[in-house]
Amino acid sequence: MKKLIVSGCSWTDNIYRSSIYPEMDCSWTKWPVHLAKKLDMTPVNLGRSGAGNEYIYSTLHDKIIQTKDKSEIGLVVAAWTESHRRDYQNIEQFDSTYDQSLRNKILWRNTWFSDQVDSRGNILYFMKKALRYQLSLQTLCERWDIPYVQFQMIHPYDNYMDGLEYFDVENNKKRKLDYPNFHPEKDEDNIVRLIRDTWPSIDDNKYLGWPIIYTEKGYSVSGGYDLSWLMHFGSDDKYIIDKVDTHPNAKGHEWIANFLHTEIIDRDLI
Amino acid sequence: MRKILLVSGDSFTDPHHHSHAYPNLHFPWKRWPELLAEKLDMDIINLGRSGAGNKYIYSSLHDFIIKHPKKYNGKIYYDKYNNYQDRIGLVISAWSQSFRDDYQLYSYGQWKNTRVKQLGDLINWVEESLRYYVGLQTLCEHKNLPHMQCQMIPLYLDLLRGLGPTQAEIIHGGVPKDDTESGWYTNIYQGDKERDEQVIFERILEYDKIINHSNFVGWPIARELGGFPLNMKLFYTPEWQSDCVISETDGHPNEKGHIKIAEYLFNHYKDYIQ
Repeated sequence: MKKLIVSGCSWTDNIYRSSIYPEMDCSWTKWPVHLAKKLDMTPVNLGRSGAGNEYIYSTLHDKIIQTKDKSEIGLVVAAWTESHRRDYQNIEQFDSTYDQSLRNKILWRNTWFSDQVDSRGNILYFMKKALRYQLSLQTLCERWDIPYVQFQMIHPYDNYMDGLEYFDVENNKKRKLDYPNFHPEKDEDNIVRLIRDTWPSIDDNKYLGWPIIYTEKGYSVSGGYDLSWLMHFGSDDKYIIDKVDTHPNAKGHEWIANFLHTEIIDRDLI
Repeated sequence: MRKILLVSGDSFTDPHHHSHAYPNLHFPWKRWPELLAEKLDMDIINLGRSGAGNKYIYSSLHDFIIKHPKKYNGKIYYDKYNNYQDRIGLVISAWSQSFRDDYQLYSYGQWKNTRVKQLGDLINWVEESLRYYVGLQTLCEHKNLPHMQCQMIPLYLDLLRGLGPTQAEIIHGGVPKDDTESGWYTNIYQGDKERDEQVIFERILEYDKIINHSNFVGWPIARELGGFPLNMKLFYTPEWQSDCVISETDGHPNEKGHIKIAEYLFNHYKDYIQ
């Protein structure tokens, strides 16, 4: 059976746990498993809560490169996330009491960490970086003739520009941070220009929701491009945990898998 | 129509590099990209930038190959190189240290850099760089562009040995001397040097079957593995002295050094790429 290789953030994470409801059992089947079943493939889910686009690109890159026989890969799926996150890796050292010879073998483990906001650069840089990862993944898959599909699972800049939300535990409510620039409209214009400049290089048949910008019928899977979509997904409790934790619930994951499967078949991507 | 040599790198490649150690001196010599372009009978686009890290080097080449910008990092390329996207004859990445960080600011995306990244560790910075090497190779192969890569200066060694003061700090003072071998204060590497170097070797060798050896001058980049960084290969004798660099304090190539780099790369191009 061919492999379905997927990476993404918390919306993709196979072992997602709600930070708002830490006791909640979130062990429902996630969309990569549903999708793999529909496509008759074996899921390889690299998704990780909190991850940014560097993580998503790097994990997919490494998995593709490490696969000696590329024909084993049935489909690569990149579920891109917010552009302002920053990822990095540390080698984690376990202070174990194993005997020395064994210890040297297992002492090291690569561990990814992510910050919610990159402390260097501005939103335009974050978007440039994100688009470079997306183009690099496209190039990698095209070079090896690997079927792939990419999309924004979460919108890349909307949340940042609207003011990032955080959960105020003390008062049990969501709050917003201010956007760190005096001219958000100007920044948004520059982002739209950047996306338009990138358009000729992007294979938009393999990028669901391209060109991302709402006014041009772009979308992120979590948000949709018009109110009717939002009514069905973004603000309806039917598909999300609730209005505080808006991650997909069991039905939401099924909805995402159905949506992706329909698009993959309609667009003839495999 | 003349082809274009597209190059990116750090201060060793920067056409406007000036010495922090000798800020009042002007170095009028041609840099290796210009010399190599003459030998190849090509026009030159040199994106080299002092202080740059490997993210910048990859990103700048990627942006030029994919998006053909008319303006980049505040500089206009359109007028001089109309339709340059069809004329790229050779791409060269002259890679730098893995631990530098690059990012962009302002609406036109001016590139900035820091000497050492804030987050992560050396082993994984090396791995990040190796991803850039594969990424560029993949891009050039996919676009059918002749390309060469080289590790211009050591990828990880300076941090592992303990990062010393900058040239400016040495010349202008403000850095305490100590009793180490170099006589200068160094930032002591926080990890286990020997073990980490072994892990780095393993990581580099993991890419051995992926990297195209003919296109990568000095692969596998570490002398212990049989490869080399280009500056170490060309400039330093076993006695650790060279007449190819500006001075003992400033290890950047002088005129002779740039000629030597250009000749070495030209010979590699003739033997393996052309």
